[in-house]
Amino acid sequence: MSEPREVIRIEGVTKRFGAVTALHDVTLGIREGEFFALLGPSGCGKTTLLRLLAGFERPDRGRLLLDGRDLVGVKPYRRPLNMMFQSYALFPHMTVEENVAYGLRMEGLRRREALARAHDALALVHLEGLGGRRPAQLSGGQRQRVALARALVKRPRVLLLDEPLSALDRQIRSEMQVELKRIQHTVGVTFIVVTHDQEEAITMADRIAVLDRGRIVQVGEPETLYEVPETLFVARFLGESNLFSGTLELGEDRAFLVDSDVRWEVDAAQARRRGLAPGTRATAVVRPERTIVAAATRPPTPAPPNLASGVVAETVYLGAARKVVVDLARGGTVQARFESRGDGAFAPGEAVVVGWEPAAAALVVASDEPTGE
Amino acid sequence: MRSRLGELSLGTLFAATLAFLYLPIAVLVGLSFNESGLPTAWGGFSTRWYGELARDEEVRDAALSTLLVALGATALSVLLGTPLAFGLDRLRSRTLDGLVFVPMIIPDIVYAIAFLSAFNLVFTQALGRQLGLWSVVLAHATFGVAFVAIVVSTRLAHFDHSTVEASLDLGASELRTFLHVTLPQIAPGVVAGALIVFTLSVDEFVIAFFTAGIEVTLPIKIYSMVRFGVTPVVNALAAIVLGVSIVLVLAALRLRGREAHP
Repeated sequence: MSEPREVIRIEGVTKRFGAVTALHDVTLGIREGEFFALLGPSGCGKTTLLRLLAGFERPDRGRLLLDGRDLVGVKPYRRPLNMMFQSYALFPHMTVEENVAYGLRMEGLRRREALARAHDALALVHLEGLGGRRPAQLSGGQRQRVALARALVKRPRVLLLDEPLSALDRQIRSEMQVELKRIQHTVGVTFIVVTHDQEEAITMADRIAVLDRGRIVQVGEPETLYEVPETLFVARFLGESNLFSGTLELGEDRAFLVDSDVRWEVDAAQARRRGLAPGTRATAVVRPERTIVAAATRPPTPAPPNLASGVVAETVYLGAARKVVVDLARGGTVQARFESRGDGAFAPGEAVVVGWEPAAAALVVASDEPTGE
Repeated sequence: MRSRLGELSLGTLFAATLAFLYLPIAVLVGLSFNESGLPTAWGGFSTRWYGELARDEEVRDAALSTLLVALGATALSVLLGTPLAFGLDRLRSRTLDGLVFVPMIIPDIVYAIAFLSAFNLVFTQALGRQLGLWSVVLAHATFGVAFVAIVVSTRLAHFDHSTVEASLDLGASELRTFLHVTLPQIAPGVVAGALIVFTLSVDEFVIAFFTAGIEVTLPIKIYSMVRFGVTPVVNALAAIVLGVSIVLVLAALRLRGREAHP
């Protein structure tokens, strides 16, 4: 299968604000029709990247190509991209339908036709009948939908969404995650969404780019990022993780991370794929749901190659799942997560063993921190 | 805890204060409708003095001059004060804010003398122009700019600047964005500022007296009329100025009070 064609190509883009480098030599391609997420903590440069695409900022270096055409220097109002703002930025002096029709009117469409298309767009976001209201008369969720309709009604090549769900209640937020996916599927427009919420990115996006301090650290599908993080930053930013560090000992078909008193067995093939040379400090990232916990009196059989003893510090009931926090005897803590089925939970103070399979760990270049979170 | 007596005395104090505030105005308006024209004897209700006023050409000319000055000063204040408010909003400097707002608290008499000296120096001596209504317009616009700037600034504080970017993003040029998005949102502030400046200019005496040269504005005319005692015509004139001022100020307050998100 051939790769889908790229609608946006970001090439070597650098952007500074005074002494601060917001984006550092960013290169990224976004494919036709995909739901793409720019994910990172605040200040990582993701919003700057979006504003560069919208045309509100100018890169200091690099090119921004849309369908092969360089956008740098093109005014925002001449770009076939539309943006949905974090604050929604609805025009308070206009009605909902006037807000949505605004972009069409600016294209030169007649009022009647613009309003007709505005109504279609409002129907798409389930806001039929609210066209005559003012933004101030709407709930937060409704405003968000108006902003979406307004940005979509011009049928842009790419829709840019800046933290689209951050202002919503938790309940509406998860509804809207599904809703945004549905709308994107219906209109077939490429979506680029900026978010700091890893759960949101994982739920909605086809692919995610993780940014850290102005650099892209990893691009991939949510599953890849979660299961095979390439850096410690990605591992920790997406979901929870247990970290086991040591110096890499790489044999023919077995590999270990050696740290004073322990030898953690890791996947030799993965170490090679990662290009980790013997002797380098590496960290094994093990997700809580792939970490095994068992009572010290009844160790798991067959025993995983990596085992450590500890004491339960805390158990947390999460509804569908149960989380156990274990203090390891050698120092550090480990979290494990498993489905709760009403069977015996661990009690704080209980002696347990913690284990993991080499295949369950993702290998990254080490941090200097000891075992555990 | 408040006692009955306390409430009663509070009510009395309130009434007395109101009387203190509005008694002179009530007397003025009352006398302007007094047929006899005497401050001491009520001769029955009459609009006679208003009629006389309407026939007085000098008063009419003065009223026209005042109207021209007020319109000119208002226009100038809006044209300079609105962009100034945008500038202040962007720079966010307390020092600059202060610098702009000081003209509002400089005593009129100080301003009047300053204008007289400055105008004489620049226009009369250097350019050979006589003082007239135009110099009153300039002088009134000086404090007017500050008022417009301060009222529009309050409006801008509630202005969502991302609506400007949204408009650009939706295909509107900078000019169309200003006309369709920015201006409608700040318009109530601009109009309120304009109304305040207009009201202040209409009844401003001290500065006008110093800078009008041989021209006569309405307050100057009134001043010249009362030099020979308060005539019933002056009462009528003052009552009209009062009425106009009240209407304008109420309009300005209404616009200013309206929320940015109606």
